Amino acid sequence: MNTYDGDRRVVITGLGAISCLGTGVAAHWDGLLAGGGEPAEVPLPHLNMRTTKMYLVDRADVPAQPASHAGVELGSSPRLAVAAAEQALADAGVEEAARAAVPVVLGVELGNADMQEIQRSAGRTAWTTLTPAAAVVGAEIGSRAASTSVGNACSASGYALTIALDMIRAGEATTVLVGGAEGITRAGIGAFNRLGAADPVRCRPFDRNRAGTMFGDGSAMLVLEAAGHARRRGAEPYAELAGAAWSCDAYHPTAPDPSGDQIVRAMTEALADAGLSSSEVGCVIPHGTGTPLNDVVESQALHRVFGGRTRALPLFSLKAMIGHTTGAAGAFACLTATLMLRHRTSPANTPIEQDPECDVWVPQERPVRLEAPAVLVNTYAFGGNNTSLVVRDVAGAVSDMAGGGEGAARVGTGVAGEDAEGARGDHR
Amino acid sequence: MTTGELAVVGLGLVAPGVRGPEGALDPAREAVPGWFRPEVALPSRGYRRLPDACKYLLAASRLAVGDAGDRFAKTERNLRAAAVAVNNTGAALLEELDHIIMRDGAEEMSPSSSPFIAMSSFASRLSMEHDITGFNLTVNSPVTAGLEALGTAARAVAAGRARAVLVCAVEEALSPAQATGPRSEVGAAVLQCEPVAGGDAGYGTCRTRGAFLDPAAAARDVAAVLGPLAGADPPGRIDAVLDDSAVGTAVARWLDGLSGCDVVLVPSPAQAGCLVPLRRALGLFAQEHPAPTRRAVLAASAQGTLAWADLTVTPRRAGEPDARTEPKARA
Repeated sequence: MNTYDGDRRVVITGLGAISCLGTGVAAHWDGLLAGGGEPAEVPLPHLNMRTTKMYLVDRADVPAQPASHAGVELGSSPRLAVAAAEQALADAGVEEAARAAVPVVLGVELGNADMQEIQRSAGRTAWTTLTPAAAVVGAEIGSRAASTSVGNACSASGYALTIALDMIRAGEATTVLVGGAEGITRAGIGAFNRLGAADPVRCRPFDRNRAGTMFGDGSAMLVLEAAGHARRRGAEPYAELAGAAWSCDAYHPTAPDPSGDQIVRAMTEALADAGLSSSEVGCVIPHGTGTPLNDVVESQALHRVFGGRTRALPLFSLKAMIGHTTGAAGAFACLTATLMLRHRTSPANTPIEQDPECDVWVPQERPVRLEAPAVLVNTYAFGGNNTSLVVRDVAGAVSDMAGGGEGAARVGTGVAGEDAEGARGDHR
Repeated sequence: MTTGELAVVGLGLVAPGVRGPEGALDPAREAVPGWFRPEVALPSRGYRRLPDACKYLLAASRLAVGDAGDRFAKTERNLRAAAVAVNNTGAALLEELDHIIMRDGAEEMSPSSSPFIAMSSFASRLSMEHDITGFNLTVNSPVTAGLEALGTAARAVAAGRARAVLVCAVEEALSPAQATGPRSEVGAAVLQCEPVAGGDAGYGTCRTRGAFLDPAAAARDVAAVLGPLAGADPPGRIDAVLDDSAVGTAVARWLDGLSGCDVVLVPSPAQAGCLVPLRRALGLFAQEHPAPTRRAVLAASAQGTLAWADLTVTPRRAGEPDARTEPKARA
């Protein structure tokens, strides 16, 4: 059974987020407009390393439940995932009865590491699964459908989003809950310290003084849905996940290929998958980690994709505001891209002293109005594992959705006329 | 819904006490010192500093690629891919690195080992080894990740993201401090897979699907979940990799009531990884049959993840030409 009736489009109908900016999508957007979060000391024992800060979820906001799943004591990552998942499903209006058929696809790298590290510090050494989060979410939402956990480090949820997109396009599901979640981790920060890739000051991509990245914890979740299914139940899409592509550098265990060939290919193929030209991209949320080479290579690759327009194309440097959320970074970026399209604006970036080698536009003085209907998202990872995703405004697609009834009409009238200021704070 | 169909054209297995795919269905053996000889499996330079699990994976991938002839190398590099399953692969190393941080500080960590705090790093070298630029995906669901890798690869192939995929599972033994039982999985299994539309079934074809059974309601929900997963016409033999958790117990009971099927129960320890289910599929493909033969592998984790792989094994008998060397296969 093909569940989307020849309509290839996959829309985003629900969002959930919890990060250093707060709990909920409104807090996330308002936090971005306010300039983002600030690093704080990581509350783990035995942090014997130079850089010990992350962009942290307020510990009072980390849910206490579920505390365990099938005998495994849970750290913060699965609990954050459940909280964001509940937000996203409620936002999408997916009723309890419909949740059994919803697959869960989650990007998780060091998932339950904080619980393991706390136990290790206390002398408890028995190993339990590092990646229970997708299963925990499945149990908590009442899913009986497939559970997929993706572990491609910093691009894990970029891969997860593509898998979810392909599941719907292939007719395996009409609705998929997809996202990413990461907690705090001593081993993760320690390794980046050892590799000289942990900035002691803050996460400052494209800054001439950047000295590596700085992690953040949290979870972002999206409900993806076949456009026809959303239309029939009267759901209001935020945006369309219009295209996605993968590539691999096959170059080095940790460093990006300086040629940028494969990240250019990922961006180009994602745009082709979306049926869009580069001129239809109004903003890019780059991978932009703050590691010296990544930001230069990505800047150069953007020039190859966008040509002479690159210097007038706004970049939104999300990691400067919420840190590098590793396995959840792609989900946070897609969620942010979705909100940017809804509000027709890219928030002002965190001020930086820009590296001239990163010849891209990182607007810092004020929000920038989006002048084109799509946002491109990049996520990259150790091993040169790259994904690019294209999130597209659904307002322009309203006429295509004609015949879709009142739900589709509401989408058009609800979004197309908004300006950036007027839309602020409107998150359903 | 299944994820699409794949043809399996090459097999590679590295595991203690096993000489090749034909031994894949034997019970997993304890890893004794010296069971794996990297100087034999990976004779060239550049592998010495890699963790052993990386070496198992690379060695098994070489066997699979070699088994399939030169098909992988002939596939355009942007259409070559890998889907790698990991569970406990980096557990012992992660513990060791964390102890170094706790005891001596992060500066004392080995720079060559530090990237392996990311479990996907165990798969990364595979890309460089085989010049894979399509994608290199890592999946990590407890126990079911190996079969999940098959399904994810099938879906990606159907979406045009690759034409040749190394579907892999790799595990390393837990440290003595981490292990709560006598045995943990060690080794790597690799299946080289391609679209069925190419006309060559190789060892056979497979379709994979997944489901979720809430551990807290396993006994109540098992029929509603497993019925659709097994489908209306399950094959005559089902290899079920199950532990004694609430989920494993409920699934075993449900399988007991399934008529017309020979269920081969593969007992799984509490700290099982994701290697055994994929190894099982590999072993079933390696069996010889005079006619097309349907098989299934079912895996379940204590956390509730379920995966089912439907296999159709290509006819092949000892002394007869290998289906993979028929002219059509070489085309």
